[in-house]
Amino acid sequence: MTEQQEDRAPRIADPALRRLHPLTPLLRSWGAVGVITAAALGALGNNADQVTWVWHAVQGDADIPLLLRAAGLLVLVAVILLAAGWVSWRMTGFALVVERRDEADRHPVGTLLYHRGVLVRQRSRVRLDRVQSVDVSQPVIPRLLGLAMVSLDMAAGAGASVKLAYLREAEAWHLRDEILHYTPTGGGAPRDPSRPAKPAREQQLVARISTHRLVQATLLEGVGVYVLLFVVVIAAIGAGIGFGWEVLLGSLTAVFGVVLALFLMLRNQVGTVLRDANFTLLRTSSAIRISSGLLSTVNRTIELDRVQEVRIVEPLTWRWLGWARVEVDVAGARTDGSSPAASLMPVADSEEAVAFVASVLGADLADPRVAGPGQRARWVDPLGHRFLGVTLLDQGGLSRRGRWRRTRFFVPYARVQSVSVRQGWLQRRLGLATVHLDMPAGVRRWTAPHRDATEAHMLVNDLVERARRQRAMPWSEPTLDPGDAGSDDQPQHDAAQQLAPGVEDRPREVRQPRHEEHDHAERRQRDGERGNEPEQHQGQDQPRDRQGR
Amino acid sequence: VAAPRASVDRRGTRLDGVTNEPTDRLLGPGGAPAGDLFRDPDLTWRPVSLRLAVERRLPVAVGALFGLAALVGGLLAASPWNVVLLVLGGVLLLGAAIAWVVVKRAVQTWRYAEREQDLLVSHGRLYRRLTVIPYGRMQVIEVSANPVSARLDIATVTLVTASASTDARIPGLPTSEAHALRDRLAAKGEAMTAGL
Repeated sequence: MTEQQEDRAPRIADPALRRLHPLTPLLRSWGAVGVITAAALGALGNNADQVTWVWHAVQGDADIPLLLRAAGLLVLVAVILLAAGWVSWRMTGFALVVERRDEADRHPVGTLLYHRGVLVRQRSRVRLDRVQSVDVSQPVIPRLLGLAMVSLDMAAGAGASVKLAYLREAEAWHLRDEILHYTPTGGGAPRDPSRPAKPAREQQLVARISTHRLVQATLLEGVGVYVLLFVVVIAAIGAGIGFGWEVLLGSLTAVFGVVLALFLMLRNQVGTVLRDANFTLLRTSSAIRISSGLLSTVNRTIELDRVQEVRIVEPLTWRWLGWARVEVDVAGARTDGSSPAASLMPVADSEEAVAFVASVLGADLADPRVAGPGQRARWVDPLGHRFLGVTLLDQGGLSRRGRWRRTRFFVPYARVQSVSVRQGWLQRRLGLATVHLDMPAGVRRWTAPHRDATEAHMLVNDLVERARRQRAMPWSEPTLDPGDAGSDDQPQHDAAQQLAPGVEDRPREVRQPRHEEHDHAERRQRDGERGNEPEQHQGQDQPRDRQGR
Repeated sequence: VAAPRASVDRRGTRLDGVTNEPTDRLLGPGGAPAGDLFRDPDLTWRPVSLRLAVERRLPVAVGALFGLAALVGGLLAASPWNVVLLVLGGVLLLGAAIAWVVVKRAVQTWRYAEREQDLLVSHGRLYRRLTVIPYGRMQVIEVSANPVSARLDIATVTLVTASASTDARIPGLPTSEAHALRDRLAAKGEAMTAGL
């Protein structure tokens, strides 16, 4: 949605562009410049007593040592790089422009202008109402200098994001707040006439995860590899003692692979800890804010409306302690697969994780009405069939699987792209079929494996209907009719009551009702103005959230 | 609705209490839908053109020609290699014969049906699939034809949603039907577009 400037777009008088921080070019190419400078200095240092050589060299009347010539070249390259960076910095600017139709316009449209490029001039206009998330992050070195980066993600994925790097930290936060003003779900402040336009400051601390526990959990998750390594080493030593040293030397080569695997895993683990340390979860009216990071810090804002899938993952070793991790997939998030899925909670007590998801999404992922596929499924999935299960909640489908690594998958119906059902030869003989919900790119599809064929038929019809009804609505109002068993009110109520005892010792914030009726009504009204489906007006007077009781 | 038989451990430490009840409980009482899962008899399913089989049999025919050539060569050549050629030709011809039948049968399974809100596409004999694509989710509708299918006057309609896993493609529609379908879908999609 980064549009090039177009003629038909409303004219925006070129406003005064703001510049990024002057240190930006240095930081952007700090690696190259740093290495080159260090190498050059090192080379010069070797000839420190001959500094006059430089002068003579310039005069061209000296025999220049090769090393010195190389050093001079490096310095030249570094200077050119810096100069290029400086020119590029001079040509880069951004501005936040607000368009009002008239003085009393309560829904101003914000646009971010971002101009850059020396040879190829790029002028981007980012409509802020299309922005999916605004993050403030600080890599290590900028962090030391008190600088930060603001990145805007659009729905189109990794390609369509704008990174404003670098700004002073306070300025970055201020800009982020400003931008959030004009995103559809962000602050919500400009949309509410009763409140003065100010950034959404009403946020509450939901969870803070201690780094100590994170390290424990990370080590515990990888404990299998350590055990394997231990066994291999013991076996190798045993073989050495039993059969002589040549065998031991031979078996050491086998250990090598394991050590390599160990190193890779350690690297991942260290990465996880560095990324998720100091993990803090804040809750605003319509979004979750995460800040984390030990060396580099990242501040992510996850709009609840954009959540495509939530997973509660319980690795084997964590289950012994009753721990779980909450992962989330969001539209427009970086989906290059290089980084693991964003954790909503890197580690938490299972019940805490369930309660947290319930409080933000209104879906009970520990719903007891999960139905397994039945005994016939053992022929298709002999090891795992006992752990498969599916249920349809009011807001989305819940599926779980995994013998060792128990995972519960939840997808909101409103995000479903298409519904499909597949049946292999063996499944057909057994009268089974697998139902899928196709999710937007980057999210694995949701699966209800090996259901009874008749049930699969009903599931497909039901899911299509539920997805249709919830598609146009902003967020998952429970509007399904009571005749529908999957959304029957009574069991839901029971489930909530069952949950209650465990709830008491949790922080109060987790159970806070969502106070955003107003925002939603407003937004719906606004969407209506834009000519969206009238269906959006349905359920406006429905209770916002069942968890709010 | 029956109460769940086995309850799940609230602490989440043991999730193996998955209820293995008869699975229709999931959706509660209500008549089981009649008919085949992949061919709802209440809908008007439209087949694709059998000319698609012609297109798909083309590579099979080429393979068969090679097989025939190998067979003839094996019969004529007077060298110890002719056994290899004979076997190769036989295998190729046999494979082509099987593929000839399978391709036709596979093409016959392609069906699509238009409902008020969504489009259903179903195909496959051994591995059967049905995809339901809501009109509101369609982002792009493509009609494409390669030189062979263009000669046969058939085209493929591809529906693109935001999901990479949506498998929505109808090959082998007569070109006029493909264009008409595309226009209908585009009109409906425009009326029902939903955000992500």
